[in-house]
Amino acid sequence: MSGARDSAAPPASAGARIWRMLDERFQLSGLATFLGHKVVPVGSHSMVWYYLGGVSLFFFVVQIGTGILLLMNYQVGENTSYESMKHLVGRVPFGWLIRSIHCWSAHLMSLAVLAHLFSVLFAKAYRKPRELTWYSGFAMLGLVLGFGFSGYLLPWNELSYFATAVGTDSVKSIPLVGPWMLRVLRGGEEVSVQTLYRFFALHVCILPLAIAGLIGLHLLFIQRQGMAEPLEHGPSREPKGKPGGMPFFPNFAMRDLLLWVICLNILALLAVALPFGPGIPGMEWELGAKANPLKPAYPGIKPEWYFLWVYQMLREFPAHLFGMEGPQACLLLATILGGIAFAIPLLDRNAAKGKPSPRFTDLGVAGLLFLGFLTFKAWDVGVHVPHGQDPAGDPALAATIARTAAIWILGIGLAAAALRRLRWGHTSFAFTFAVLLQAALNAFAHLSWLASGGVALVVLAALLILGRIRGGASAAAALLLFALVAPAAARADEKGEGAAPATASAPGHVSEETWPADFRKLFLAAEKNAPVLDEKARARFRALPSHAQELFFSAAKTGSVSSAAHLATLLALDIDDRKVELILGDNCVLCHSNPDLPDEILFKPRGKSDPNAHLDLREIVSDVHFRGGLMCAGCHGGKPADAEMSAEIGKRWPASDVRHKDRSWIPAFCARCHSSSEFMRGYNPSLPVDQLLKYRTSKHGQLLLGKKDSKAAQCVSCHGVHGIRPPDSTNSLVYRENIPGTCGKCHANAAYMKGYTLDDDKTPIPTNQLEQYRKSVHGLALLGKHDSGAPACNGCHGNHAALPPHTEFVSQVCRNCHAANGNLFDGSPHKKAFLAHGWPECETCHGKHDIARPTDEMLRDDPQGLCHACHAKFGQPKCDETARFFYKTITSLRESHDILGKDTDLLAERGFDVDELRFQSSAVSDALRKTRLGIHTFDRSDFIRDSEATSQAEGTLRKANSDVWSEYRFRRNGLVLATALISVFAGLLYLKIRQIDRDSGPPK
Amino acid sequence: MGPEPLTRRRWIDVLLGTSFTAWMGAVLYPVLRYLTPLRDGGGSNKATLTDAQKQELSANGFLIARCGTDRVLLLKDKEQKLKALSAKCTHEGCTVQFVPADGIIWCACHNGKFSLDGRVISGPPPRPLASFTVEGDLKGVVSVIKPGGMA
Repeated sequence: MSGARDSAAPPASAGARIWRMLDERFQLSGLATFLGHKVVPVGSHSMVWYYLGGVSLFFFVVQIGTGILLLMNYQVGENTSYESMKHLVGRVPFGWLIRSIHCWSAHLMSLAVLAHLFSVLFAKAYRKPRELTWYSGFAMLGLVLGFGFSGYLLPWNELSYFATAVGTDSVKSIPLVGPWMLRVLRGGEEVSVQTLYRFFALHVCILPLAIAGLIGLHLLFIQRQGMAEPLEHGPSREPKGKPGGMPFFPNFAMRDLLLWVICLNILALLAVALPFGPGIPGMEWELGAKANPLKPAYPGIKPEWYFLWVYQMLREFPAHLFGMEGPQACLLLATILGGIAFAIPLLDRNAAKGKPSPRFTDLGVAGLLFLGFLTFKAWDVGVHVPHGQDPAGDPALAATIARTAAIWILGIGLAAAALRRLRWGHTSFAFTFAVLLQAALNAFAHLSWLASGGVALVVLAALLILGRIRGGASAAAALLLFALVAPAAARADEKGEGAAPATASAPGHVSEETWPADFRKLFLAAEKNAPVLDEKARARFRALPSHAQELFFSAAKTGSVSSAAHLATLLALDIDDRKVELILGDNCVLCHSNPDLPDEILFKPRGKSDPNAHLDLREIVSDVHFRGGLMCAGCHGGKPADAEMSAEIGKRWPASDVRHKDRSWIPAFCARCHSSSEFMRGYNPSLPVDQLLKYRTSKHGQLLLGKKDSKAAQCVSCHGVHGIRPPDSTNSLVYRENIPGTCGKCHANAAYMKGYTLDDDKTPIPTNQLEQYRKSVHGLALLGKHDSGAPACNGCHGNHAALPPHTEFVSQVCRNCHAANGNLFDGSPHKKAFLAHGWPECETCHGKHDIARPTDEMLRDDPQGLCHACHAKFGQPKCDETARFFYKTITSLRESHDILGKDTDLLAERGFDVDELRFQSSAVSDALRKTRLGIHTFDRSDFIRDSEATSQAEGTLRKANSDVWSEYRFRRNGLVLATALISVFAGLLYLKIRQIDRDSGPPK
Repeated sequence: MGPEPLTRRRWIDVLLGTSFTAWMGAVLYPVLRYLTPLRDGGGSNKATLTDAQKQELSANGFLIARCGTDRVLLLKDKEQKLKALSAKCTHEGCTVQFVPADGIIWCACHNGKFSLDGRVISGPPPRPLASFTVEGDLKGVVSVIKPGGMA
C-alpha cells in the first residue's frame, strides 16, 4: 500500500530536489523558517521609506559591478589614468555606458543613502534598541562620501585635480595631526601621482572592504531586530495599536525587486540621455582636459553636490576667527554638526522611551533646510554663470544668489511647516524657524552668514528656554549654541581684525619695541588729534622687510626724512619693497619730496593729467635707469649721497631757455651712454648701440638734426623722460601694444602734423593711420587679441631708422611675415601686370594701414568683389572665369565644412567625445587655408590640387561624423528596446506581486 | 497526467520568466560587448623604429619589435636587405629568435625551425610565419606595416 501511495505522490521538482540536497548538507530549514517569519510593519504610515535601504544596496551592487568592469580598462598612473579613461569612453564598446552608469549610480546611491538616513531620522527608527544600526548606517554614509571623494580624482582631469587639491587641503585644519594627515592622504605635500595611487587603493580596495563589512553588520542588525515601526511624530495624536505585518518573503522582496528594476531603468535612461551628467555643478563628469598641476586653477571649480554645503561654509568663514584660521573654525563647526547628528540616538531620550519627540523631527527638517540653503548658494541659484566663472567676486551677483537661495529655502521651509502642522498636527518649529531666520537675515538684511547664524541661534535658545524644554533636545540646542553663537560673537572680532594693530613683530620685520625713538616719534605723530600716518601707511611700514625698515630708521636719524608728513608721502607710494630702498638711497629724491621744504619739493604722487606728470615719484622709481643704479645724478649731475645741491647739477645740457626750444641736443645726450658699447656692456650688453646712427638716417632725425625742427620725434618723445621702462614692460611707451598710441600722439594729431608732406612735397601726411590701424586685421590682433606676432607701426616702418617703405618695396615688408603668399605671387601672371602698372603688390588688393581680414567675398564676380573692379578695366574674360571658379570652389568647401562643424557640435551636445572629429576638422581648416592661399598663384592647376586635398579631408570628416551618428542611433534604439523589455518585465512583476498578495491574504 | 493547463497564473510565470531572460539579455549584451577586446587591441598597424632599435638591428642583425599588438622579427638577409616576419611561432605562440650562425629562425619552446622567408623547416609548427612589410632603410626611417592593416 505504501508503495502505491509513493507512486501516487507527484514527483518532486528539480528546484525542490536541489533545496533538499542543500538542506541536508547545510541545515537551511532553520534559516528559511526565520526568514519566512520575518515581517515588515504595515500601518497608517507610508511603506515607501522601507525601500530606501534596499535601493541604496541596489545602487551599491551596481557600483561594484560597473566598478569591476571599469577596472578592466582603467590604468592608474600619471600618464595612463586620463588616457585610459579617454580610450574607455571613446573606443571601448559600451565603455561610455559603463562609466556613465557608474557615475550616475554613485550619485543616486548617495542620494538614496541620504534619503534613507533622513527617513530613519523622521521615523525615529534610531531609538532603542536600534542605536547601533543608526551608528553603522552613519559610518556607511561616511564611507559612501569617501567613495565619491576618492573616485572623483581617478580620471585625473583638471576638474578632479583641483577639486581634490581643495578638498584635501581642509584636512590640514585638524588640530595637531592635520598637517600629518594631509601628507598621508596626499602621499606628499601636493596632490600628485602618489595621491592618485592612494585614492585608487582607497576606492577599489579599502573602502569596498570596509563598507562590505559594515553592510553585513547593518543587515545582521536589521535581521535580528526587524524593521522599526515609525514613532508618531506629533504629541497631539495618540499612539495607535500595533500595526500589521507584511511577509518579507516573498511579498516585500518582490516589491523590492520591482523597485530595483525600475531603478535600473531610470539609471539606463539617465546614462544614455546624459552620459556626462546633468551639467549641474557637482554633478558633471565630462573628462575635459587632463590634469596639469602647473596650470593655474580656473574659477568655478566645485566639489560633488553632497560636499557643496561644506564648500559653501568654507567660503562664508572669514580668514581668521577666534584665533583659528577660517577653515579650521569651519571644520570645527562641521564636526560639531556631524557629531550632533551621529549622537541623536543618545540625545533623543523621549524616543528611547517610545514617546513622541517632535523636536527631533523639527531638528531633522531644520538640518535639511540648513544644508539646502548652503547648497543652493553654492549652486549659484538665480544667476546665469558661464562655465568656468565664479560669481562670488561680484557683490551684486552674490547678493542675488543669497536672495534667491533664501527665497527657495523660505518657500520650502514654510511649505514643510504648513504640511507638518496641517497633516500631522506638529507644534514644534523652533529649529526650522532658526534656520529660516538665518537665511532671511543673510539674504535680506545683508548680515554675513555667520552673524545671521548667531542671531538665529540666540533666538532659538530663547525659544527653547521659553518652551522649557528638557531632555536631549536641550542638549542638542546647547551644542548648537556653542557651535554657532561663538562664530557670531566673533563677528566683532572679524570686523575689528583689520583695525586692531598687531604689535607683535612678524618674522622678517623689526620688532616694534626696538624701533628708534626719533622714528617712532614720526610714526606716531598726530595733528589736530588725528594721526598723520593713516592705517594704510602704518600697515605698509610694518609689512616692509627689516632692511628696508632700517633704512627708514637711518633716514629719520640723519634727518633725510624729517617729518611725519614726509614719511607719510613716502609710505603712501604704491610701490614695491625694492623701490622703497632705491628712494631711501637717493638724497635728491628725499629732499625734493619733503613737504617741509616747499621751495625744494618736486616729486610727489601726481595724476596723469598733471602737466608735470613726469615728476611723479612712482614713475621715477620705476625707471629702468633708476632701478639700474643710474639715479637722478646720472643725467642731472652731482651725486646721490650729496646732502646739498652741487654746482655740477644741470651743467651737462644746454641752459634752460635754450634746451626747451631746441631739442636737437637730446639724441646726442642719450647717446653719450647708448652709443658706447663699453659703457652699455656694464648694464645691458644685449642692447644695440647704433640707435643714434639709425636715427640720423630716419625722417625724424633728418628733420630734427638737419632742419632743426624740434617738433620731430627724438628719444624722449617715444621713450618718455622719467619712468622709462624696458620695451618688454607693458608700461613702456614702446611696448609693442603701446607703439601705435605712442606714434599716434603726433601722427594722429592733425594740428601737430600740419605742414608735413609725403616725399612728393605736396601731399600732406594723413593723420588717420592710427584710426585705420585700430580697425585693421593687424590692429585687432595686436590690440584686441594681444597677439604679439601682429605688427605695430614699427613692424613695417622700422624703429630708430623709421622711414615709410617705397611702393616697390611694400610687398617685401609684407613678406617678412607672409612669405608663402609672396612666393606664390611671384610666379603668378599678376606679378608682371602689377609691375607694368607700377602698383604695389600686396597693398593693391589688401590696403595699407586699414588692411581688413581677407574674406572669400573678395573673390566675388560682382561690384562687391575685389577682382571685379580691376578685371572690368584691365582683365580678360578668362580672368573673370578663374575668379569665379576660385570663389565657387572655396565657398562650397567652406559651407560644407561649416555644416560638418555644426554636425560635430550637435554630437558633442549629445554627449559624444568629439575630440577626434575636432582634430579632423582642424585638418580640414588647415587644408582650406592652404586652398585659400593658393589663389595667390592666380592659376587653376595649383589651386585645384589644394582644393581636392581639402575636399578629401572633408570626406574623411564626413565619414567620421556619419559613424558617430550611427553610434548615436544605435544607442537610442538600444535604449528604446531595453526600456521596453524592462517595462514589460516590471509590469509582469507587478502582476506577480498582486498574485502573491492575494495568495497570502491581508496583513497579519 | 497530462500537461498542466495554461492558467492565468501559469501564463504570468511563463511571461515573467521570458521577459526576465530578455531583460537579462539587454543587461548582458553591453557587458559582453564591453568585455570583448577590440580587434586591433587599440594598437596601430604600423610601427616606426627608434634610433636605439635601428642601432640594435645594425649591431645584432636582427630585432624583435612591436607593431601594434604583434611581435615582429626584423632581420637583415644575406643581401643586407631588411625583412620582417611575425615573431610568434605558429605552434604555441612562443617568441622566435634569429640564429645568424645557422641562418635560420628558431623557436626554443619546441625546437621549431623556420627559413628566413618564414617557411617551416622542421619541428611542430603547422604554418609558416606571417610576413610584414618593411619600408625605408637603416640610414633613414624604418617602418614596419602589418599586411592588410591600415597604417
